[in-house]
Amino acid sequence: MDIKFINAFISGLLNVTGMLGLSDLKRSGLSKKERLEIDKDVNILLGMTGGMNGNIVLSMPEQTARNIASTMMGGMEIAVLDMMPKSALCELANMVAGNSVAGLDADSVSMSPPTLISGQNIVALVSLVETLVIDFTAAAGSVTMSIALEG
Amino acid sequence: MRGIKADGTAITVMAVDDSPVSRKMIKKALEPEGFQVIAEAGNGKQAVELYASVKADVITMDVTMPVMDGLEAASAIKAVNPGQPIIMLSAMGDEDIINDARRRGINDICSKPFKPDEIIQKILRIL
Amino acid sequence: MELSAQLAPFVKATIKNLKDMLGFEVNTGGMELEPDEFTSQGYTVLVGFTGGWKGRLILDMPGETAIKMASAMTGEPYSSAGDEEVLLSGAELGNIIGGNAITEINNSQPGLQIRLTPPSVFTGMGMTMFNARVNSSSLVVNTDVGPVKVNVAVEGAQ
Repeated sequence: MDIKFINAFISGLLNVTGMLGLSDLKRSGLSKKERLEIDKDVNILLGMTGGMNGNIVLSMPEQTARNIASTMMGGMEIAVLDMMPKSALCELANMVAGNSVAGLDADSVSMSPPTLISGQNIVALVSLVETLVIDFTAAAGSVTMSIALEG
Repeated sequence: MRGIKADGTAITVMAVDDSPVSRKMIKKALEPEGFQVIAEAGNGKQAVELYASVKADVITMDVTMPVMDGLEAASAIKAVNPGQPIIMLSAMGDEDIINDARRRGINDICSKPFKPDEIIQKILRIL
Repeated sequence: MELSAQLAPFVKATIKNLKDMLGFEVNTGGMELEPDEFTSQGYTVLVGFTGGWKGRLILDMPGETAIKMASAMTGEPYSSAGDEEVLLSGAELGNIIGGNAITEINNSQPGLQIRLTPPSVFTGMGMTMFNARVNSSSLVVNTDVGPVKVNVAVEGAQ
């Protein structure tokens, strides 16, 4: 997992959130874990095949999800994570993944549509492969991006 | 006990699959019949490295694995020992994969899910 | 209601696997269209696909069913749906059922070249799965160890 790879995902997230009006996101942590496990309430997962084969997950607490959706939707108050804010968050994940991968010049990569998984006390196993975990913080809250690639 | 040879020793197996559960399922299918899984690997690279020190009568090899897939690993092992029996396991029955496997000298293919009888018969046939 | 062209191969693969691999008796319910948000029964396996069809397969069941399914696969007892091997069993099931289904689809429609993403497995309380702009259809496969809902969403499908 080289530095170019890591930087592409950091840039991807910061570029896209910046474009969406969330300009205060800062990287607050970077680590490698043995597997992709998640424990936050709101998770947007998308898979990739082709030149890069694996899963990317954006995870955050529910409050952060509502705050980010609100900013994306022009400051509208989001009391409940229903269809509109969820769609916005799925679109965020799509753009972040697309932007990150574009910065890597990989052989043709295809992405599956994002799925937003939310609930309480989630225990998940997304991958058994080495996972890059990047933490970001902003006034809206904290966001974790996990990238688990096979091969 | 079809997993016991004429001399009373067990037929030994190296199980290669990135899913620990899948490796357990292979043991569950074979060990009741006397086969002995003497080594396990979680990807093709581990399998090739392990092969340097552990020789099993047959290798069961999953196709889709991270780091190095089963097809590449099979080629690497066959390069070292063309006579090593390898049976490939896959949930994907794409003709391309099957033809590729045969070209690499993989002795037989067993599709997932497999019934214990099915994999046992295929193993016995290639030994 | 006849099974949609997208759902049918996945249901077929699920039934075949549960019967052949695990020896379960199965019977099926009718197909249902789901809203864009899908409520989990407690344990959900998700496998994405790309290529000619873009979407995802979900295998969803109560935690108790997942535990029994895992035990049937490995022969070992488990106490929680969040146990690592129970999660891994779901992942393997997703791989096998997904792999079988897309093999059939790809072989019958050579241009499609559908590929699977690695599976992921989630268990939790009150979990929902949401996909934007995509409707999904489900069928419940009833087994000896409980209900397994097969849910498939494909972008652009009717």
